[in-house]
Amino acid sequence: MRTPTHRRGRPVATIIVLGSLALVVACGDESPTTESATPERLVIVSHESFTPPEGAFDAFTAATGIEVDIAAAGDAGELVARAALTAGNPEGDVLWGVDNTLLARALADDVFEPYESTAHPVRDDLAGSGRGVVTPVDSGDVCVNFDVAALADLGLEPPTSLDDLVDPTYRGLLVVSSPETSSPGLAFLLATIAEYGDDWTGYWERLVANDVLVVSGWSDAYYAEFTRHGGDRPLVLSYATSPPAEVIFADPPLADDAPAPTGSMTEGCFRQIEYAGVLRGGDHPEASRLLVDYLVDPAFQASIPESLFVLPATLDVETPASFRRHAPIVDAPLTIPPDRIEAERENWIDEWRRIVL
Amino acid sequence: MEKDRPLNQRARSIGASAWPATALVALLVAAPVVVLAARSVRGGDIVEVWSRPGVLDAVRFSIVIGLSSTLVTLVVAAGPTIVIGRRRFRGRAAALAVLTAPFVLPTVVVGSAFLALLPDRFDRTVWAVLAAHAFFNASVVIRQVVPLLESVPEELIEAARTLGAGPVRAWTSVAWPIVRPAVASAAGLVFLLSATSFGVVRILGGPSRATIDVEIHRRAVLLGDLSGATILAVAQTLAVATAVSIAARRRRPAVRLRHSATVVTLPTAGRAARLVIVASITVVVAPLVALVASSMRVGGDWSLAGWRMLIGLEPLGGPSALRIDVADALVRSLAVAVGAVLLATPLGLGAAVAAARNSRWRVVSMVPAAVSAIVVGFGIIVTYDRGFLDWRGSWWLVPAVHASVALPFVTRVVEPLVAALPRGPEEAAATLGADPWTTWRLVRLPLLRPAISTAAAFSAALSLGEFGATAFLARTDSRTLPVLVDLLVGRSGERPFAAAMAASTLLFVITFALVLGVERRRST
Repeated sequence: MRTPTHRRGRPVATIIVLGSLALVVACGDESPTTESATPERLVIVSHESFTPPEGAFDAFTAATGIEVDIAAAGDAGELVARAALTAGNPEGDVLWGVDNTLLARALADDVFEPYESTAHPVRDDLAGSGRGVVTPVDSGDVCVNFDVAALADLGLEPPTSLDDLVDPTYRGLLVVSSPETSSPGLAFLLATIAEYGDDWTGYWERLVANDVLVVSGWSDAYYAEFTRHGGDRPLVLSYATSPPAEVIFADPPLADDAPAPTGSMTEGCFRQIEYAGVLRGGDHPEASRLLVDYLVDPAFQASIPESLFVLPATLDVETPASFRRHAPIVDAPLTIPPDRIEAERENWIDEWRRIVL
Repeated sequence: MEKDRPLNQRARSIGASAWPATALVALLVAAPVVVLAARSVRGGDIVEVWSRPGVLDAVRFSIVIGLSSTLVTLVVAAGPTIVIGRRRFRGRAAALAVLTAPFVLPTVVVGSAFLALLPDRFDRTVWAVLAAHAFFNASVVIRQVVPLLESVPEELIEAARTLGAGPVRAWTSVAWPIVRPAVASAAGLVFLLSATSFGVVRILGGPSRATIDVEIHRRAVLLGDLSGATILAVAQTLAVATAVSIAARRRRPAVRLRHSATVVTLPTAGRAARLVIVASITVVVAPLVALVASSMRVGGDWSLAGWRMLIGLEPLGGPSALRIDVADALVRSLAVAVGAVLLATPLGLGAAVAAARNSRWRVVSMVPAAVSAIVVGFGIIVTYDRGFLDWRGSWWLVPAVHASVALPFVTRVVEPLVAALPRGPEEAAATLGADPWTTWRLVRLPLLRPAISTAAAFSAALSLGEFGATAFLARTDSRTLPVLVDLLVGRSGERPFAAAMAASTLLFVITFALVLGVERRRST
């Protein structure tokens, strides 16, 4: 009886087994990636604030024959978390936009194939940790901005320091984004820590007592709560380089000699430095290094101010007129070393939550 | 012949048909969970993690939203369940089909529909989440309770009335004991589905509300807190497994009145009963109508831009870096669904054949149902991350995971039919000289075809709507429609919103068509 019963149960099973085996084999066969001399395209992985102008990579394509695509998702925190989850098998070739608040984590997670571009001289003040692994590409100062007209309507002078923000004169006027979910939000928290040391918690208690509004992201603060864009808070956390954007995108356009409708404090600012690097495990490390070189090329860097609204990292890049006129210079930005940020961030945010939420 | 065979041998040879399904589940569900469990005890975070910001809030929110959703769902479902279960009216079958269909809708579709329906100030509130949960869980209650309720003979209730029981007493003493087990198991299921809700909470909950599943995703993908996500995932899996096994142990055979034994004639529906049905259908249809309508609006005006973006006639627009190819996600979703169906159906059939002979094999297809899809997705990306086992980003991974998610449904649909296959025709074929494969192909397969096509339709619907695991596995260049909808509704601007609504509408139409088609065929 044994033989027929065996024959009876098996064929279906065999076919299913073989079929799925074939499938598994077919699927498991990852086409081996060979490093060709010039790939057809490279992918820059970034956050959603990376919006270079149309044609920004044309010169690179013309010189190398390589197209450049951008895969942008989420904010800088999400970018680094995703890079960590895909370390060694990245979603693209080059990463743009890990900043000094997140750099230590990216380095710890071994996200990058070490490469620091020396193709063009970079500002001295941007060097630091990450040496030899990533290349600084821009900097931006996170500062409190104000709506000039709205403050004038209230009969108030613009605030000039972090201390002013806890002054009852400015009660209920400030909106900031959360350090949990937004990188400028984190930068602002770090600014208060750099400024007040251990008493930063006391500062935040006073800020809360002065009715600060905390929202989840920068755009929620800037485009929903800020008076300039229809909200009812005339003070908003943004960048020292935001006022030029207000001029460039003003609708209706402003007269050429008109002052910017918003301004920025120059005290209590935290300097964010953004880096770019070659992602470990990418298919085209050679070409990726060329692309990082291009990212600090004065030709590309010159397009940064008026598209990303941050300051170029490369020396000898001329600042556009809009920046010279409307972006105040932050002489003494606050900063905290990346290692310390990485070691303390969780505790700080935890403590911050207890005070604010 | 069959019974001459030693039992253990039969089990072995039959079991072979479950191997592929077993391999799939072992690789894509069991192994990742084991790896997560092993990682969770490493390092000293297992106690400390609970004091991280938001973790306990998520646990609390899961329990609260689970309980409140269950309560609201039972209240909302009571009316239509009682009317459909106890009254006769024209279009009863159609009403039942419409009222039970929301359950198969993808969670992001339900989220988008309520986003479209509710006025802005209710968006992103706990009330919106509750409403959405009640919307699609009411269909679970109706689906589970109506069959039992309609089997209660009206004569029994009338007899109780004759013996002096009031209308309420007659119900509580006659009907309630019969339907109670179904109500209890439906309530348990609703709690589980609501407490582990992901898509709905992501879309409607706003940034500050998270179930454990949402928190796992937030920690892993947004914050990069892998140890926190791991420990939460393991704790969540343990809690669900414990709850499910306790429920399974306590489940006693319900009082069953067999359809065939008693032909129950139900009284005709009165005015109030009809009103309940009309109201219920309105409540089911309203969010979907709102969804369809908002897919054709951009800002305040009627426009087909959302649809044009969906099928690739115009780009989403926005800054160049944010260019998202909506049409690409549509094509990908359809391709993934086809792959998932092609994999889940034969594997599920194999598992069902084995399970019909030996119930031990049922475990294989129960495992994916017991583990949250978020946990599966997260487990996979941290498990298969190096060397030749680096599967992140492989084109076959998402369809294979969808297939494992669909496996329990395929097996559940097919197994009863396999078990009930008559022996006669098959033996006749064998006697006439047909080899076993021919017998299968010509005799058993045709008998199973209705079940197989039902299973395939369900698999396709599940794959199209799968969001939990895909949220981890899809990459920026390989998003499926649900992932894209989640991304677009979170973005400011009218065009992304319109594209999200069009994508949701399409998902809704496809899944509804699949399921209604199957239900129709089944009822005729």
